[in-house]
Order: sequence, then C-alpha cells, then structure tokens
Amino acid sequence: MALAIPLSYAGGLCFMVRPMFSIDDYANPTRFLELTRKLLPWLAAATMLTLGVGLIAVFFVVPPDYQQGDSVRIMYIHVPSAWLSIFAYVVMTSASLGVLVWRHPLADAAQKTAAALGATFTFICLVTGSLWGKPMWGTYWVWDARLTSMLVLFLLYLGLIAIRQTMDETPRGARIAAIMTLVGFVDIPIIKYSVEWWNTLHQPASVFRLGGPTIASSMLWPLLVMALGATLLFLTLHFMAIRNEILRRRVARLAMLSVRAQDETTDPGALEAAQ
Amino acid sequence: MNDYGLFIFLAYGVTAVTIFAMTARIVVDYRHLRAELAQLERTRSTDESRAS
Repeated sequence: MALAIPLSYAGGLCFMVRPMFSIDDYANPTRFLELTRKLLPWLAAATMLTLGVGLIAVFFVVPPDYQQGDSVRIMYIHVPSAWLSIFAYVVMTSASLGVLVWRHPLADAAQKTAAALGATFTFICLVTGSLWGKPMWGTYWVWDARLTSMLVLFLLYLGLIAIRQTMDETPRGARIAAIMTLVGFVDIPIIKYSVEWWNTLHQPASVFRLGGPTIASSMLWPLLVMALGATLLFLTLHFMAIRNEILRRRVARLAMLSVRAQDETTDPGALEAAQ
Repeated sequence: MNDYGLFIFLAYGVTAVTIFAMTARIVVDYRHLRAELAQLERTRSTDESRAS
C-alpha cells in the first residue's frame, strides 16, 4: 500500500505498476481520499522530524566551508528546493500522460495541484540562490544558462497555473494543460545539462555525478536529510492539495445538481421547453 | 556567521514564510470545502425528504 500511493497519485506512473496493482484500486478518487486520510498524519510527522533533524545538523553540526564560510548554510535549502522544482515538473509530466492516455480524473487533479507547489519551490530556489550569490559572486543575478533556465521553469509554472485558472473544468481544458506541460518538459534537460553545455558562473553538479559526490561527508549527509525532508513536505502538501481538488469538484457537482433540482421544482415546463 | 548572517536569515525567513503561506492556504481551503460540502449534502437530503 505504501508503494501504491506514491506511484498511483501521479496517475501517469500507474502503467509501471500495472502488473502488480490494479489502477482502479488505487487511483480511484474515493479510495485516494480514504488512503491519504490515514497516511497524511504519518507523512506530516515524518516531514517535521526529518526537517527538524536536518535543521539542527545545518546550524549546529555542519562546519563552515573553507571558501564560502557560513553562507554555505543557504545551500541546504537552495539545493533541495532546486531538486524539488524539477521533481514537481516530472510529476506533472507523468500526470499529464495519465490525463492524455487514460483520461484519469486523479491524474488531472495531480497535474493541476503540482503546478502551484512547483512554482513555490522554484521561487524559493531562485530567491535563496540570489541571496547566496550576492556575498559569493558579488551580484544577486546574472543571465547565466542555469539561472535563466530556472527562471524559464518558474515562468512555465506561472503560465500553466494561469491556463488552468482561465479554462473551465472540462476534459478539454485538462487535455490542453497536459499538452502544454509536455511541451514545457523540454526545459528540464536544459536545466540539468546547462552547466555542461555552456560556460556558466553556476558550478557544475557536485552530488549527482558519475564520479560520485565531491562534497565532504560531514556536509553531504545533512544535505541529503534536508532533501528527504523537503521531498516529504512536497508529498504531504501535494496529497493535501489533491484532496482539496477532489472535494472542490464534488462541491461543484452537488451545487449543479441542487440548482437543477430547484429549476425542475419551480418551473418544470420551462425546463422541458428549454430542452 | 556574522559576515553572512543577514543573507542566511533572509534565505531561511523567505523559505519559512513561503512554505507557511502555502500550507495555510491549503488547510484553509480544505476547511472551507468541507463546510461547503456538508452544507450542500444537508440541503440535498432535506430536499429529497421533502420530495418523498
């Protein structure tokens, strides 16, 4: 069950677990509400515990860097938020496949709600990177390939949020948003490889690289703990947001039924004439 | 930490405020939706009992 929820909530990833689990068993909105109601308190507790341990390590265990000094502590929120801003887009892309291939309502809710979270983490990444850049590079911003591609990602998130807000809750609206998400995915490899393809001020990868991490273990493990905490925070908020989206659709459906019932009781003849 | 104290404070402050605002919005939305759903279900059951 623990494996089924993270795999099924993105909708689009469901095909990977098809041989082991039935999509309808776990990607059903009612079942999702039931499962997440039980899971969310545990997930929230694990998030607080992991982030608590990570923050204690960042401020009391991690030594100052020999070049960056104490400003290296900003990296412990900048790097996880950068990873999560990309992770959120991967979740959205997987969910978009779920919308386009299976037309699943849960995949649509996952796609819609991940955009705001992705924008939030990208915003944090840009602001903290800027606050680290001023003392280290002497400037808050440069039009370097990595920074610019991250800014493009932030604008993509804002655009996708705007598309969802201007379109009504129809399958057509969901499909258009899904196609736009797939088109925007081209920015993800550009972000990842920008530091290799172009000569950038931003440093190349220092954790996920072929030769292994270049960071000292005393600084690496708190970074990984913070990254785990941030991922758990993302999952907690995403599950909560998907639950809200399911409830919002139920409220809209019930409100429509109630208006229809009132019309029928007040003037049944007019309704028949209109039909 | 004195040299970079302000930058560290601002970075963690902005992060905390942003995440708190996001979480608060989701929680407030949830409470609002639950209340609205309960109200609609009550109205619906009243209408159904009247009709029957």
